[in-house]
Amino acid sequence: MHNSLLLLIVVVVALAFDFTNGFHDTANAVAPTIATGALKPRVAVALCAALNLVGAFLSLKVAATIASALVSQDLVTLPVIFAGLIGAICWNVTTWYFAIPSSSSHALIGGVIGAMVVSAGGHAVLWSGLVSKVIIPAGIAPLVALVAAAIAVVAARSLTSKVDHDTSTKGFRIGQIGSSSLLSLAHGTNDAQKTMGVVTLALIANGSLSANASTPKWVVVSCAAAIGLGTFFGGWRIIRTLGKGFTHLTPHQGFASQIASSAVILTSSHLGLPLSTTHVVTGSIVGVGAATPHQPVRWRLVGNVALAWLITLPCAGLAGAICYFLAHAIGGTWGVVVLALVAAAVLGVLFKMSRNGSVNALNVNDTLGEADEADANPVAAV
Amino acid sequence: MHVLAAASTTTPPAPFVDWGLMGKIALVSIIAGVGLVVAFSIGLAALSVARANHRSAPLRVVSVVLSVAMVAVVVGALVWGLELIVHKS
Repeated sequence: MHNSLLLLIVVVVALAFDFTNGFHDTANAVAPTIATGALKPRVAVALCAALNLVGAFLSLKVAATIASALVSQDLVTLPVIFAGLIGAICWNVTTWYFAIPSSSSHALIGGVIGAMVVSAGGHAVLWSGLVSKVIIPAGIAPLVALVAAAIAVVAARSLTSKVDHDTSTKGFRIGQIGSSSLLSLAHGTNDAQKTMGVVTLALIANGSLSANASTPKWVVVSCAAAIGLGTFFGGWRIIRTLGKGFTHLTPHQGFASQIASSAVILTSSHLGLPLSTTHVVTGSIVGVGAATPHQPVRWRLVGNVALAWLITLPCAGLAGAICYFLAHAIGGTWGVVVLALVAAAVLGVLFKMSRNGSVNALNVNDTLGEADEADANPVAAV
Repeated sequence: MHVLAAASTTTPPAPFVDWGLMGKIALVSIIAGVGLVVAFSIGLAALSVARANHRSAPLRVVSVVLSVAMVAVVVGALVWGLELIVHKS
């Protein structure tokens, strides 16, 4: 009975993480498309949500769970998964509140590792795997995307310098819709399956599923629905940061950044070292801005975001560790229940606070200063 | 002797960080990303030339063919990207 209740809570929390993953990462696929006017905000987000939903069903090959290369799988328990997920959700919602694009995958990895260290000790974490598969690729991803996007935008500008403005703008906007759609599909496939892996791991840890069983259909459907719904809600704050915060994007820049992002993400995924979509997209947007003469890039914001990336793993880890410690201190399934309620209350307060400075489909294309003025008369939105 | 023989046939341990793989990802990504943007831009430039040239029929035909070919390259790449998503490694 207790195990069933615990499992139910873990599954619900995993779906909640999937939801936050969706609305946190909407920006990765649609921010340049919205910023350049290729699609209207609501249409772009709806298309992205639909393609994330479809993407979750596209590949039947469930991605290896994050536990496989980073922690000793035999030491993973339901409370560890629960605490890791709560840590990741807390980091996702906090960075969303401050409009910072950060990696949901890194938040999840950090949360699980933090909980694992408190649960079983530092020896349960495969630190070399963490460095080689997470930390070093995280440093390389934005740089590769930045270089690819910078070269691409210079080439696009040179080749279309004599093209009339209307043909150029319309052509690149159409191209953006295609590249944005591809990014959305790739995101749905990778990230929904990440949560499918976590839920499957929880079912195995609880003894509800044998270790070599395939992922149940209900897990696939619920994870796809959660990420699709989360994407549909649209993390407007982060969309504004990516689309308008770093630099002013024109259609040829938006196209160059999205094609560069797609190339990096699909290549890395195909070669067996998937990189963070958030890091790649941010790098490519900064790249097109930096490679355009007389176009300001807000380097202070770039620095703040880079700092947030640096502290994602330790902060999510700390949150996961505290959650596990508290749940363990209260004891048993009730510890998890109490902590889930406390986390829900804290996140509810954060959502309520976010209404005061809401960014939405109507003001998402304002520059940061303009949007702040619009906050005086906010329209209800996430 | 046996130890030496065994040691000589043992595969070396996997590197801590696979820099070769990272370099391959960087190179392929940059070539693919830049290549597609170049192809699409050439397609747009050719389309613009085709629209502007009403007098020279051969130039117009060549421009249209080039434009269609370049856009086909980009669409083909997007379809291939979809294929990679569906059959990911």
